Parts: sequence; C-alpha cells; structure tokens
Amino acid sequence: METGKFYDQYTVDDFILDERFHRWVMEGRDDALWQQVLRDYPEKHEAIAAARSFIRSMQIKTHLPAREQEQAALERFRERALAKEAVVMEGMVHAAEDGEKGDGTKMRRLGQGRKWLIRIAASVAILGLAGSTSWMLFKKRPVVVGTSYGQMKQIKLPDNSIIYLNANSSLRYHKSILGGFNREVWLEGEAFFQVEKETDRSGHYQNFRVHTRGMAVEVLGTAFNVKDRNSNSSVTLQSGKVQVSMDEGRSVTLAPGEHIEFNRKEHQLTKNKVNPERYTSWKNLRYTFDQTPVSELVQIIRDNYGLEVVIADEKISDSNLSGVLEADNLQTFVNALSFALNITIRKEGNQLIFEPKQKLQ
Amino acid sequence: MPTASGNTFQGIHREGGNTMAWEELYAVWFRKLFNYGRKFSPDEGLIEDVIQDIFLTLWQQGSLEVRSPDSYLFTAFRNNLLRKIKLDRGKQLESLSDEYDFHIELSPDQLMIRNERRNENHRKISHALATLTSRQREFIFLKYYQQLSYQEIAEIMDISAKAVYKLAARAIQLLRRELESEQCMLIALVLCSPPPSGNR
Repeated sequence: METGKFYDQYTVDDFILDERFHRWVMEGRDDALWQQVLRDYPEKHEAIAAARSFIRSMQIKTHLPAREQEQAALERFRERALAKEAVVMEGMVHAAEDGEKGDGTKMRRLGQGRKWLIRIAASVAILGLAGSTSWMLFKKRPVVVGTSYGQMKQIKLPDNSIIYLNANSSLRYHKSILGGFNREVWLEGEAFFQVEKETDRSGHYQNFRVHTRGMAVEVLGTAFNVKDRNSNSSVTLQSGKVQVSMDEGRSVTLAPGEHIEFNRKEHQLTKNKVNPERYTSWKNLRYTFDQTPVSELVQIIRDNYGLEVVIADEKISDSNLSGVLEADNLQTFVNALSFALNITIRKEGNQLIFEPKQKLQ
Repeated sequence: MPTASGNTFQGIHREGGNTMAWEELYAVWFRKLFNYGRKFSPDEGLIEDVIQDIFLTLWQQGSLEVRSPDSYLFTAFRNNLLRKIKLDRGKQLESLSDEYDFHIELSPDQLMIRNERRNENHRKISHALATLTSRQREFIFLKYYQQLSYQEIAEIMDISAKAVYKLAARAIQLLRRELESEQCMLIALVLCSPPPSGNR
C-alpha cells in the first residue's frame, strides 16, 4: 500500500496534529494505512506510541445538565414553540376572513370546507393554549441564576428577599409566572442572604430554606452568608437566628457573629465566634482579611476567578494578610494584593504567578 | 446513534406539527451545547436562554437546511453566548486580558485507573492546560472532546483553517513540553497496550 506521505520525517507532534492519525487512534479508521506505516517505519514506533498515548490521555470533563433541569428546558421550549404556532394559526384565520371580504375568488379556490377546517384547527389550538396557559400561570418551574468567574449578581426573590450571588456560583429555586414561591433555594458556591420575614394567610411565620450539598439552613428573617465550595460548607450569621441541619442528622443553632464549617467528607463540624464582616464583605466588592494565610487567598482566587496560583518562592506561602482589599475587578484585587504582600503578580494564561519583588537596579 | 452526525436533522421540516422530531433534536443539542457553554461560563440559566433562542428561531423558520448542521449550531451558539456574556460583563466585574474565558479539566474517570505513572501524567496535563490561552483550550475541547475537523473548528472559532493549525501546533507543543520528562517511561507502557480496535 502506498502511504504517500513523508512519515519518516514526522515528529511526535506531527502525528498528534495529523487528522487521519487522530481518527485512527480515536475511531480506528484507516487501520490498514497505519498498520502499513508501522511496518514501513519501524524507527517511528516510539513516536507513534507517544502520539497515541497523548491523544488518548486528553479526556475532557463533561458538564451535563441535571435531569430535572433538562426536563424543564424541554418543557419551556415546547410551550414557547406552541405559543408561536398558535400565533401563526390565528394569522391564518384572519387571512382567510380578509380574503372573503376582498377578493372572493381566492377563498372559493380554497373551498368552503377547507376554510372551516382551518378555523376549527385554529380554535382548537387557541383553546388548548388558553387551557394550558392557566395551568402555566400556577405551575412552579425551576429558575437557575448563575455567575461567571469574576462576576457578581444581586437577585430579588418573589418574597422580596435579596441575594448577592458571588462569582462562580449558582442558585436554583422554583417559581410560577404569578410569583408563587415556596421560600426554598438550592445553592452551589457562595451567596449572602438578606431574608425578609413572611407570614402565611393564618399569620404564621414562614421559614426560608437554603440547601447546599450536605446541609440545609433554615431561617425566618435574617442576614447570613452561605458558602459551599469543594467539600466544605460554611454559614456565617450577621443578624437574627438560623438553624443549620446536616444531611447526616446533626443540627446547630447560630447566634449573630457565629460561624460554622462543615466538611462533608470528614463529617467534621466546627463552630466559632468571628467578625462577620470577614465573611460577608465580598458583597460590597471588598475582601476583609484577618491573619489570612496565603493558602486561603489561593483558594479564593481559584473559586472566584477560575485562576490557578503558582507561588514561585516558599517565603510567600508562609506569609499572611490582614486588612481590607478593594476587589471591584480582578485587576484592582491583584494590584492591592501585590502591594499588601509586597510581591510581583504576573498573569500567564490561566495562572497568576506570585514572585518576590525584583530589586531595583 | 442520534448524536453528532448531520443526517439526524438534515431533513427536518415543520410539517403538520411534527414536534416530536424537533423535541428530540432539542434534547440532544441541549446537552451538547450546555456542555460546551459550561466551559465559557458557569451561568447555566444564561446558557439555557441562548440555546432556546436559537431553537425557537429555527422552529419559526420551519426547517434547518445548512451544509453542516453541526458547525452551524456550534457557531450560532458560540456567537450568541459570547455576546451575552460580554453584555453581562460590561456591568459587572471584569477579568484580565483574555477576550473570553474557557475552562476545561481532564475527566476524573482517568484517575480511576490505578496506575501511578498515569496519574502523574494526568496531573501534568491538567497543570499544562492551565497555562494555555482560552483559545488554545477551546481548540483542545473542540478537537479532543467533540472530535471536529480543523475545517469545522475554523468555522466555529471564526478563523482560517491555517490559523487553527497554528493554534493547535502551539497548544500541543506547550502540553507536551510539560510531559517530556516522563516520555521514556510512557512509551514503554504504551507499547505493551493492545492496538485500537477498529469499529467497522
């Protein structure tokens, strides 16, 4: 078999970049050709093996929507498409009537029976829509609000509670078109909650519930911060009173200024007294640090900006930071950070590199 | 298989309320575009809005007849999503330099392989991926995850095929530099593994 290419001059990278080679590795296509290449160029075995291993190791993580989310998306599409269809049908009825008044010949060609058929079909579609509309008005469907890296959002819920959603986070709840809302939300990431007190018809206070992976926070009306990153969940109470229940059974009540951390993997629960400002000031676009180790800064940068930190000098990892840093965008935060730590911070691709300051010549 | 191939909806028209085919199409592409969109932004609500707008437009047009539906949908989705992210960002905090974000991670399934060397390899590639630019990472995703051709990737990313090749060469070079030191050991391992089984 004629291979027709100068494979003898191929480097590992050339093999990796060759589309036919890629297809062979991934889908087994053109097997005969590549077996021939293997026979013809024994000196290329190493390069081919390396290229093959490289291609196979590039397995990228999939992000799939939750089943419920997928179902809701399909329902929304169905409803909106149906609504558009009904508008088209209604247009057809008007067109038919206009045709009758004006140029009668057009209608006659369509035929009386055909016209009625259109009318009936349209009425059925419109009636069907009206029926499903009233049901649509009450039906609670999931709403997902999310933020990108470096982004923050303020959300007002139907019960007038206000939520500040930190970067790289998402909040899910159910709401009907008429504003029906059962005061229950699911959080991934970090958010600050300012919950309004609400009573039901009989005057009883209604609880507001925040779920994270591993626990639920229950309140009446208060201000608090919830953070759920990696395998840690934490709650910091600013005012009022909350009850936190772990999925595994334990539950704790917090007083203002109290902070709990729960590690899902190790089932470890710690509770201490803190300055709530340290955990909540991010919502005002500033970070408050108090003897905060660099390792914690690294985690914040990873969670909120999606960047990896590379520390070029061990001395930097040993330092810690106290003070309030402005963070209305990444650039200001990085500037403040480099000033406070007295280091140079450089961005390279997806990495921030922390280096000791170069001495001035 | 109702996934990648264009044949699935080359011939779909809106006839007599044939919503079934559309719903099927929507379901398949919802997952595909959702996964792609999550690499640009964790904002899942925004991603869903963009997907739905595209499909409603198609639905109103009544048919989708383009040469390559795959690149058409990826392209339309990418353009709309990036526009919305930019609009959003104008009012919000902004990120440094790069035109847009694109984040990928290696699949954790790989870690299940109980092999020290492989884990080391995995760690090194993950580390190297972080040093690439968003564009380079997007190429890696479209090529290694979606298995698209250079030509299709060029259409989606709106650059020439030559530019894609250049982007690819640079990305591969950077990734491989990270692995170089381990190369000899890897070769020994791979040579022992069976050749890929052709599926035909």
